This record gives sequence, structure tokens and C-alpha cells, in this order.
Amino acid sequence: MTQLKADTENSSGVSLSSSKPLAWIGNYSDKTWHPSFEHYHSVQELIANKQPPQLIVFSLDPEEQDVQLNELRKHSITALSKIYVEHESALSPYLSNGVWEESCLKGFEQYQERLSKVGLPYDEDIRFKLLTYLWLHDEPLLPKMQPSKSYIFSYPLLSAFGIELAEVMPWLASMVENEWLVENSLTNRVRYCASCQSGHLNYVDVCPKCESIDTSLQASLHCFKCGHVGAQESFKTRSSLTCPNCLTQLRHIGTDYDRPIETSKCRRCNHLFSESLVVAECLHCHVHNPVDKLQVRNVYSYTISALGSTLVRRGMKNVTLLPNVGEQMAYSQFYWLLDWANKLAKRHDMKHTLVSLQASNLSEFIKEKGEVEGLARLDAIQERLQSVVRMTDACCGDGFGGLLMFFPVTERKNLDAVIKKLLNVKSLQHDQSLSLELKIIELPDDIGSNVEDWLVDKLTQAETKAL
Amino acid sequence: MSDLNTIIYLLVDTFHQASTDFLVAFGLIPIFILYETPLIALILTGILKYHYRQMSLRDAASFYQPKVSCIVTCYSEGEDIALTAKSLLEQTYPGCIEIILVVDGAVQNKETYETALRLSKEKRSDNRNIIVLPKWQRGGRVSSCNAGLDLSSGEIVLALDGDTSFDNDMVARIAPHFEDPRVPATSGAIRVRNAGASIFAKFQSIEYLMSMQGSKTGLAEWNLQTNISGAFGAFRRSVLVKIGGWTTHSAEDLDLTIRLKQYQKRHPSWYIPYEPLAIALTDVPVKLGDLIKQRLRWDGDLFFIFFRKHWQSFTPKLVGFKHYIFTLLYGWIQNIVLPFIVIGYIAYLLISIPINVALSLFIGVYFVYMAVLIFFFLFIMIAMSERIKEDLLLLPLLLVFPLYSIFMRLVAVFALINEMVRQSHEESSMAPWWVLKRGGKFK
Repeated sequence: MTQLKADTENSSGVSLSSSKPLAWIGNYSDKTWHPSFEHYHSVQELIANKQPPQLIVFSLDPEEQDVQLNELRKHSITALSKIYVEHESALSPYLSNGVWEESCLKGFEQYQERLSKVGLPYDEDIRFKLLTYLWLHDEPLLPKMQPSKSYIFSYPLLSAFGIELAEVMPWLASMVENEWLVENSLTNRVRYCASCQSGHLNYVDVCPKCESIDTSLQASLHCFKCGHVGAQESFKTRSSLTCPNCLTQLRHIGTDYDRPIETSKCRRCNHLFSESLVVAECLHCHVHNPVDKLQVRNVYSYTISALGSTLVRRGMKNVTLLPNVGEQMAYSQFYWLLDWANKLAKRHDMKHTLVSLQASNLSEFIKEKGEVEGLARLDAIQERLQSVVRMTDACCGDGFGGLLMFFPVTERKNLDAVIKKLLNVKSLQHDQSLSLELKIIELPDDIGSNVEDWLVDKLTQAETKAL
Repeated sequence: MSDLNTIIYLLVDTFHQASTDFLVAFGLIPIFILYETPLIALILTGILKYHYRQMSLRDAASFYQPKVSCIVTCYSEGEDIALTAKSLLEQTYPGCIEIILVVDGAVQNKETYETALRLSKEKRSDNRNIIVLPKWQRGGRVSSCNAGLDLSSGEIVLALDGDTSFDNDMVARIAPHFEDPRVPATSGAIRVRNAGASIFAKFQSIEYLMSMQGSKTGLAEWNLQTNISGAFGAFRRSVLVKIGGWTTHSAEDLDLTIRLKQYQKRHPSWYIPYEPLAIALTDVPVKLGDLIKQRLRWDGDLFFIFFRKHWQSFTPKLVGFKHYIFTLLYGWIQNIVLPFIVIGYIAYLLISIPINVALSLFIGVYFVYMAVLIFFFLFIMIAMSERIKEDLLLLPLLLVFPLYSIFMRLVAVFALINEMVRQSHEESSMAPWWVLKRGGKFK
């Protein structure tokens, strides 16, 4: 390991105040804008160092580079690092973050900024690892075409993360179903052998009767008089056509003879046919697949979804109690509404009520139940809450995983029906382990110039009612 | 009953007298039958000559296989042009055949045009090629032929109708004629495809047979072909280009034949052969009304061509003496004067002679005519028909055919008067009015 450059303030003016070193693997070529690098000969050396570098630049010969890139993405220390290459190699577009140039420093700065905001523990779960990777680098997940391989398309990054080839498709599908990933663009559509999943298929036209490939085109004639059908050659005399069966001279197409639509002949079973059957012969297992029985797969590139990004930033806290109740409003709109309704109430002597509903033990609840079950429970609760809210009520998230519900022209005392319904929602849970808290604020009030500040104050002051 | 007895008596008596005294027979036989005798003799000897020539033909394989362009004039035939095109693709001729489908008024005749396009895309052997030439604005048959000629590249050009299909050896039989450099044009026989459709179609079938396999075959042997049919004509392209292709006005086929003949004096060695074994099948009018309309057009056009358009050029100096005499006798007189004589003769019989005598004489003439007809028909069928079984079915109709024949003469008289008085050729449906108008007027 060699210290190549001491100054961390480089010519581009980008400050690289990283406590962790920047690594250079392979032959170093000095540039004026380079920050200081620690130099390694191989990935093994770097990993043995146990100091996870955030920026790694490769300068190796292509084959070696691909192998080492794969190693880096495989290893948990460097799986999410910013990796650049001096020269492109076959896998570099999929496993690295681009070619090393001056503008990369800016990209790295952005990366560091994002890295500090990651709130999702990704080490344990490959799904979170991928989401974090995509969010950190702001790049799509690209498929790579590999014609020499039977699977034709693969995702090198997923392979490096340790996902088995056979699992890739269902794995990605579940990511999309969770709404963490979105299909970015359709790269291709591939058909695979139903028997061995190989994409190496030979589409071959065969006899529809015996499936022999030994077929040939044959111009045939059909004698109207005796119904004989045979090869045109067998009808030919010197300058005319004569049926070899009934010896009638065939003068006029449509009157004496015509051409049968069967234009192909099987040389094995002598079957005459018009359209040959097309089968896909697997080049690996030699199974003849009917074309409609092949497995069709669409190959997409993927990007992280808005939900996925939120998940990465907020971690599991992101999971809110009530994201879908009613028609949720934007904060600004909701605050404006509160302000307006408040003024209205003052002038016309009306009473409004604002209810805050929060789950105090949401993250524990999810942890306890496991993510799958926990989220399913939340879904059920949300569904029931929807029945509590009327069309004229306004809802908004409270920014802490809870829900704000505004009941216009409704006095505190008239709210019992709602509270009863909420209690009902709670009691419908199997084990009642999710504890819901209720806070009630009455309008009109002196809101002041900042609705948000007023709301935060009021919510902290308001008495908490456990449901 | 007594009337019938009288008629039969007179008839038998007449036959008896005619059989014993030649002069009586000569006096009774209408002059027009005598007039037709040399023609029949020419035809019969011509057919015999044809067979003699066929027998003495040396059976030598020829390497003459020029490229043949088939100009098919299409209009509102729609799907039917597929049969025409297919029958041309099916030709056994080993040389190259170029099929030019000229769709006149392709905007109105969308179905025809689409059929043509579809045909042009179908798979076929290397030496068969289909070209579609759409003419968006209708210009008539003549403009279609000329446009096709302009596009054609074959040494031999065939001008064909879109509703006519061909035996698969048609080109193989037509093309060898052009190996003789003295041949500027030729044509083949047209048969009726829809003879079974009605009795009038059957009558026309008999007519076509006697005209195509009979008259034309025989007369062509003496180089006296009267007309190269518009539905089925073959030309040496260089000759056709030299004489300027087809010209406007109706009956462009007869017009072209006459213009070819006008070169006879300059090219005495030219002759126009006829190939009776090159067969085209066409649909004829099924209903009497349509048939009459067609004949009104044809017969009127004859008068127009002979007496209006080519009146001045009809001289022995141009066409030669033989053609001059023949056209005079069997072009002009037979087609234009004879219908008047026949109808006049019948009218004269009915008016001037007692009705019994007239009827018996009429029946007598009818039998003579029928006898000649049956002989002629059988002769032609045995000598020339390549579809004897089908033609034999027409035989019983010969008993009433003379009536049809007289009726058609009546139609011809109407047509001729119509053309003489009203210049009906200007109403032809074969081209739009503005084309006919620009073609110049003939008084």
C-alpha cells in the first residue's frame, strides 16, 4: 500500500473530506486533478486491509478487471462503494459506476452525501442492498446480453450480490410487486426451452405429421377429371400438361386443373402440406418445443421506485400507519385548509375538530410480527379506517407515521361516534398488540402565522388518549 | 292444317323441281347463298391447307424463345383478373413472360387494383413476372394498351382482355410464329367459357367456333385474316411501335389490323398467320339484352371503321389488289351490305308473294342453310376442335341456329343505321367521352 498523493484538496476544488481512504487498483496514471489514493495491486489486498474504501478506481487489463470487479461487488465491505474504471471492460458498465474522469469527483461527493442519509440496514437483506445500491448511485439495474450462455440475459450485479440465476426473475418480480423497483425500459423478449430453460433454440420447420425436418417444396397439380394430385414434373409432356393417371390433357387452369394449396412435401412420410409446423429445438436438451409452449420472458432494466427511495432513506420508519386513508392531502394544502377553516369558524361561530391518530409502537410491532405479516396487518387496519372517514373529512399524514383527520363543523362532543368506530377498528385486531394513540384539537384557536409550528405545539400539549 | 299441307306440298315440289332442273334450283337459291359459296370454299380449302402444312411441318426443336410481354387491360373485372393472370403464369412456354396488368381507372376499380397488387406479390418462378400499372384516371382501352406497350420489354407483345383466360400452351403456340421475320402479328382462337350459362351463350359459342376455328383458320391460310381480336392479339413489338400503337376511337383492334394491312404493298412478304390451337376462353353476354347491346356496338363500329375512319386509305395502292378485293367483298359487302339484303329479301318474300308460297320458300331456304351449316360445323369440329366432346353438345342447337342468325342480321341492320344516322361510335363505353372527343371527328 502506497500513499500516492497527500493533498486531499484537489484542483477541481471538490473537497474529499473522507476519513476512509480512496483506493486505486492496478497501474496508476497521475493526473493533476487526482485526489490522493492508496494503491493496491489486487482486490484481495484491499479487502485484507479491512478499511472499507468508498471510492475505488480500477486500472487493470479487461479480463482481470472483470474478475476483480465481481469480487468487489460480492464482498460486503465494498458492495456499495463507488467504483470507477480507467478503461471499459465487458462487465464494467454493469458492475462499475463508469469511466474515471474529473466529473466523477462530483458524483462521488453526491454519493457521500447520500450515503450519510441511508437509514436502511442493508447488510442482511439482498433486496435492501440492491435498493440502497440503486439509490446511492442513482443508476438503473441493467441486464447484460450473453449470447454464449444458455440464459442469454443476466444481471451481473445481482449475480455478484449472490442471487442464483434461476431465482433472478421471480426475485425481481417480487421487488416490482412490492413497488420498490419499477420497470424502466423493455430491453428484449426471450423465449426459453420449457424443459431446460435454455435460450439457445433452433426454430425449424418440420412436417406437421411426423415432425421430420426432411421436407422440400414441391409444385403440385390437381387434375379435376380424376382428382389425381402429383408433382408438376410428373404431368409435364413436351409442351403441355397431361395427367399421368387418366391421361387427360390439362389445358386450362381453373377448368381442367388447379394447384393444391399444399406446396411442401415430407420426404420421410410423403405427407403433402401447405404450412409446415415450426418447432423450437433446444440446442442443449434437444427437446422439440411447440412454439406456444416456450417460456417467454421480458427482459427489463429497472430503476428504484419512489417508495423504494423512501425506504432507503427512512429505513423501516418509513412504514406509516395510514398512508392510504381517505384522499390524502399535501401538507401545504392541509395547513392552508386548517387556517381557512379556523378563520371561518371564528367569523361564523362554528366548531371544527382535528384528530391525530398515531401508533406509538409501530416499529416494534413490525419487528415483532415480521415485515410480511406486520404490513399485512397494517393494510387491514387502513382498510377499516377508510370506513370511518367521510368524504367531507380531510386527511393528511403527520410526518411521523401517523394520521391527521380534520372533521369540519363537528364539535368535540359529536365525535364520540367516530371514536367508537376507531375503537372498533382497534378491537378487530387479533391480539391488539398495536397500540393506537388519539389526540384531539379543537378549532377555532389562535393559530398565528405558521400553521405547522402551531400544530406541533398543540400536538405536544394535547392530552394523549390511548385507544 | 290445310295451310301446313300446302306449305309441305310446295316445299316437296320445289325440292323435286330443283333436283331435276338445275336452272330452277339456281333461280330459287337466294343470291346471297351463292355469294357466300366462294367464301366457304376459301375457308374449307384453307383448313385443308392448314392440315397439309401441319403434316409436312418438320418436327424440329427451336431455340427461339423470345421474351413475351402480356398486356392485360383490366377495368372493373375485380377478382376475375386473378384467373387471367394465373392462366398466364401457368404457361408452359419455357421462355420469359412479363405480365403487365394495366388497371384503367384504378381509383374507381379498387377491387381490381388490389387484386392486381396481390397477384404481383405472389411467389412464382423466375421467368414469370407481374407488373401492375395503375392508371388513376380512366383513359379507355386504347390508352391502357399503349401505356402497357410503353412499359413492355418483350420482343413479342400480347394484348389481352382482363376477363379472358388462356390455355397453358397458348404462348408456346403463339411465340414460334414470330421466328419468321415476315410475321408482324398473329392471333389465336377465342372460345366461350360460359357456354352453359344460357341458350344465347350457346348460340354465341357456335358462332365463335365457326368464326375462330372455321373462318379465321381457313382465311389466314390465304393471308386473308380480317381482324386480329382485341381480346387476344399478338404483335412483334418493333412493328407495333413503328405504326404508333393503338389509336383512339372504338374498334381499335380492327383499326390496327387495317393499319397493318396498309403496309402490305410496301412489305409484300408480310403475312398475318393465325394459330387456331392457341386458345383463349372468355365470358360472353348471357342475357339477350346485353348481347344486342354488344352487337349494336360491334356492327356500328364496323361501319365507322370502314366508311368513316379508313375510307380514304382503302386503296389497292396501299393494301394490294388481293386484300382490296377481299375486303371489298367480305369486309364491306358481307358485313355492311349483306344484312340489308338478307332482311330485305325476307321482307320481300313476305310482302310480294302469297304467304303460303313465301313460307314454303322460306322453309326451303332455311333447310338449305341449315344443311350447309351442319356440314360446315361438323367439318370444322372434326378438323379443328381440340375440345370435341364439349362442342358436340352444341350440335342440336344447329336446328334453330339459322333463326338466331337472322335475328342477329336484324340487329346488325339496326346498328348500321344507328351509326350512319347518329354516329353511335361516339357513344362508345370503351373510353370516357373526353378521350373520344379529343380523338377527332369523322364525318
